[in-house]
Order: sequence, then structure tokens, then C-alpha cells
Amino acid sequence: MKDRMLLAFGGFLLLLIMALILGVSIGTVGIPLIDVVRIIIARIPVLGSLDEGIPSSSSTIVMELRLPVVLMALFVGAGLSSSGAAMQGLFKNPLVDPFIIGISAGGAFGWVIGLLLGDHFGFMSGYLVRIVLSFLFGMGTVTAAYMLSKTGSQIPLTNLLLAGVALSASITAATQLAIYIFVENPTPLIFSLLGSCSNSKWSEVWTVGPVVMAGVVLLSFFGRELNAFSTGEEGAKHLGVEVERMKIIILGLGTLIAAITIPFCGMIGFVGLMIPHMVRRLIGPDHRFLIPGSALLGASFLILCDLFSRTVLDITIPLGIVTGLIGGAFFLYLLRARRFSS
Amino acid sequence: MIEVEGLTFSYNGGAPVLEKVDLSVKKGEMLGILGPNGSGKSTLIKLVSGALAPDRGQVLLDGKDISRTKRREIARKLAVVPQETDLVFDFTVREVVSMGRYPHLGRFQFDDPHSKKILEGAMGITGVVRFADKPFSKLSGGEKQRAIIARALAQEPKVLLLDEPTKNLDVRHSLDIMSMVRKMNRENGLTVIVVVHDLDLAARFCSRIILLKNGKINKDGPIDRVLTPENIEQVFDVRSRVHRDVGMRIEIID
Repeated sequence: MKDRMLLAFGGFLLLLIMALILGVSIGTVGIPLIDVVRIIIARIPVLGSLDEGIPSSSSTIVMELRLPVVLMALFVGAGLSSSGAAMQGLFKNPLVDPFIIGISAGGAFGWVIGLLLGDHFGFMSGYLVRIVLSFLFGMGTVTAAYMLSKTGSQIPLTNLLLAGVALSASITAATQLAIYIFVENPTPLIFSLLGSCSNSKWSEVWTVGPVVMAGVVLLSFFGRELNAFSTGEEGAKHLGVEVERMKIIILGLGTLIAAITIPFCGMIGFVGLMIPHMVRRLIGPDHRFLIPGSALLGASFLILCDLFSRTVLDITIPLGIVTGLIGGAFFLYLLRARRFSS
Repeated sequence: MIEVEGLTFSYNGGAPVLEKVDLSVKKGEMLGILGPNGSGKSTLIKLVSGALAPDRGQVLLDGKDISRTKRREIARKLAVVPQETDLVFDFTVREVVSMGRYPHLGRFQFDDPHSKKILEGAMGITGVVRFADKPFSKLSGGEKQRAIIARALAQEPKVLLLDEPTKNLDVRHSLDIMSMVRKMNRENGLTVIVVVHDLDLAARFCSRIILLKNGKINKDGPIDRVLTPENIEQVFDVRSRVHRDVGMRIEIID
């Protein structure tokens, strides 16, 4: 078991490094893999001379254009996947992800509101406003779902799911209405909502990255509590888990690392659903390992999706469409193939 | 060990399911809770374990009100075995049993030698070693119950609460589970409170019985004084004969 775990994590890391190098190397201008490695390693101060002889234009493409995009895809993939793993554990439902319980819809609404406010009031045009609104509305949606489904002192988790789905539908309609009424040329905005990392800048990477990393580490620390949830809330309580408090912590962290990605990359669905499934197949359901494992595999997956989205056609396909196509098929496969225990 | 004082409870403000229940359970007892459907047996167990909060009254565990005690602290003294347990993900039996160590381990503490010893002991007594590496969700009903009892024992509890642990099991498995619990009660001084639906099982394995009727304790005492044809008729509305040839046997006549 231990060997298998080490092997799996080694594999995840190797895959991530390969995805990263490939993602940076391939594009309108191809840059040899070895040059990519040399350019990146040359950033480490002592090894500064490694990129000698490589055209400075390659260096610029790698460092200023591609690397921020690839790293953004890495963090978004990691955030959505580990958030999905935690939510699936909390809700004891393998069909849950941040998209399904309303975080994405709420976050997107907050983001669009932030954009509109920024257009009208200059002082609100910084993207911190959009991040905060996105998180608040994402959290607001989950909290509303939580309150709506509360009966007495209990919060039956199926109620929570249904509330999440219903709220998502209404909020997405509200977002679309806001765009329809207030935005004159909606095409770029709609494109961003569909999900894309292609315009990411270093400053954005530095905002999303640390939050996601901290969130993944913290969520992994609550792996034992999530394991206890697998026999139900009452079961977890009898094992010594402070159930209500733990739900709030896990929902808060899971929302944070999913919502933070929305102002930068839009709504990218199904990643948080698919990746935890695959990781569970490989290393089992123990959340102490499932969460970091999902972060690693999700990171590679989204880097490769992003690569696919910008190279397969002459135009860049929105990332959310790529994950939607793969995820939709995966979802159907799960519905057909998995034996669900109710 | 456990003091229940004036416990009153109703679901969502409806008619009270339990009314002013007083109960005192001493260390080493094996107390059976019997009563017809809807008499409040499971609710009583849920209140004693703190899964539900009473409308009035309190439950004291070692003299401490459980509603004001941290769940971790409760879990180190009291473990619960429900009627049945389902698991969503494919945890192995060993992983499920290990969850019982949760209240004893610090966040950054991985399984220490003491935990290992306790886990082996718990899996040995309950006979789950054989299928320890199988996924829990693939087990039969009886095997699942054994694994959940093993998990409860891994908590090193002083009190074990069981809510109709044999409800979905056949006769053989019911007897096995109950005699296993009785053995731990006799040999390790584990205090046991068990809801039983089968009069005969209760008569065979418990040292003390309470009969619940309409949310109140109707009779409370040693088995031979509580399980009489008169009491059984009064609480369950059936006529019966009690045989004392080998231990105690209850024959239902109509």
C-alpha cells in the first residue's frame, strides 16, 4: 500500500513536470523542450548562465507569455480538483464538484457584478474587488444552499445538493440578465466566462497560486475528518468530529480555492468531478492523500486541456468548453458504469 | 457511569417521543432496552449518545453533561454501533476500523504502536482479520456489523451503545454478534446498552432490562423480574410463557 502510494505520487509529480514543459514548449512558435528547461532553470540565481545561446525572443515567450498561462492552469486545476475531492467527501456524493453546488455560479455572478461596478465607479476597477465579490457570492451561494436545506439541527446532504443545483440555475440566469442589459459588447466577457487561462499575467499567478497552495495543504490536514464523514454525519460525530464546525471549515476552504479561480479564468466545470474519481481509483479513498493527489493530477490535467484548447484549432477554444466536453462524457460514463449505492 | 435525568424529547415540536425518562447505568452492566415499535428505544440511544439534543433533561457521562462536552472527549469514552452502516467510497475494512482511533490521535500524529496494538486487538476479537483488506462496501450485513463493532472498540470506549445491531441479520449472525458483545462485557468490564427487538435475545444476553412503552420506562430491573408473562403482555400485547430450563427462554403464544 505504501509503495503503491509512493509510486502514484511519483507518477503524479513526473506527469506534472512533463505537462508543464510541454505546455510551455508548444504554441504558435515552437520552442525545443530542452531550451524550455534551460530557460526556466536559468532563473535559479546560481545557474544563471544555463540559457546562454538561446535567442532572447524564446526567453521572452517562455517567461512572459507561456509560463504564466501554464502556471495559472496548474493552480486552477489544482484548486478545482482538491476542492472537488473535499466536497465529494463532505457530501458523501461522488457526483459533486464546486460547479454543481453553486460555487462557480455564485462566483461568476460576483465577478460580473464587480466588472460592472468597476465600469461605473473608477475606484472599484481593481481586480481585488472582483476577487472579493467572487468569493463572497460563491460563499453566499453555498451558505444559502446550506441554510435552505437545514431542517431543525440537521442538514441533510441531499437537500444541500438540490438547493445548490436550484440556486446555480437562478444565479446563472441573473448573471446572463445582467450581461444582456448592461454590457454593450458582451462577446469578450462571455468568452471569459466560458473559461480561459490564455491571458494570465504573472501578477495574477501570484494572487491565485499562494491561496490555492495554502488551501490544498489545509484541506489535506482535515483528511481524517473527511474520512470520518464517509459513514455519515452521525457516524463522524460518534468518532469525535465536531461535525457542524468541520462542515463550515471544509466548505469555506473548498469555496475559497474554487472561487478565487473564477475572476481570472471563468467557469471551468467538471475538473473537480473527474479528477478525484481517477485519483481514488489509483490510491484509494483516504482523503489525507486523495486531496493532495487530486491537486497534482488536476494541475497536469488542466495544463494539458489548456494546451489542447489553444493548439488544436487556429483559434483558441474556451477552456471551459474543452473540460465540459470531456467532463460531460465522463459524467455519462459514470452514470452508466458505476454501481451507485444510494 | 451514565445518568439520564428527566429526559424529554419530541421531533420538530410534535408529540413527545420520550417523557421524563430517568435511568442510571452502572459500570459493567449489560442493559437491554426493549419495547414495541415507536416506544422511543432508538431515540433514547440517540439522546444518550448526544446525536440528538433533549428538549429537557440531561445525560451525564462520568458526571459530565454530554451537551457541554467536546465530541472528542465523549468519543474516547463512548462508542456507538448503529443498526446498519453504509459507506460511499471503497475504504477497506482496515481503514474503516482505523477511523476509530480518531479521538485519540493528534492532527499530525500517525498511527503509533499503541494504536496498532489496539487495532489488532479490536479486529481479532471481532473476527474481521480475515477480510481486513476487502472493501467495506462489499461485505455481508453480518461482516459489516463486526467491522463497525471493531471500529467502536478501537475507540477504547468504556461504554458501548448498540441500536438494534442485529436487526438485519439472520439468527446465526445475531447470536454471534450478541455473544461477542456479552463476552467483552464480562471479560473487559465494558458497559453495554443495547436496543434489542427480540425478547429471546435480550433474555439470553442482558443482565438488566428496561421496558419502554409510549416514551416512558414501564419496567426496569434484572431480566427474571422484568421479563414475566404479565409485563410482556402489558407492554407488547402478546401472551407468552417463560421457560427457565436452560437459561431463560420466552415462548410467544399468540
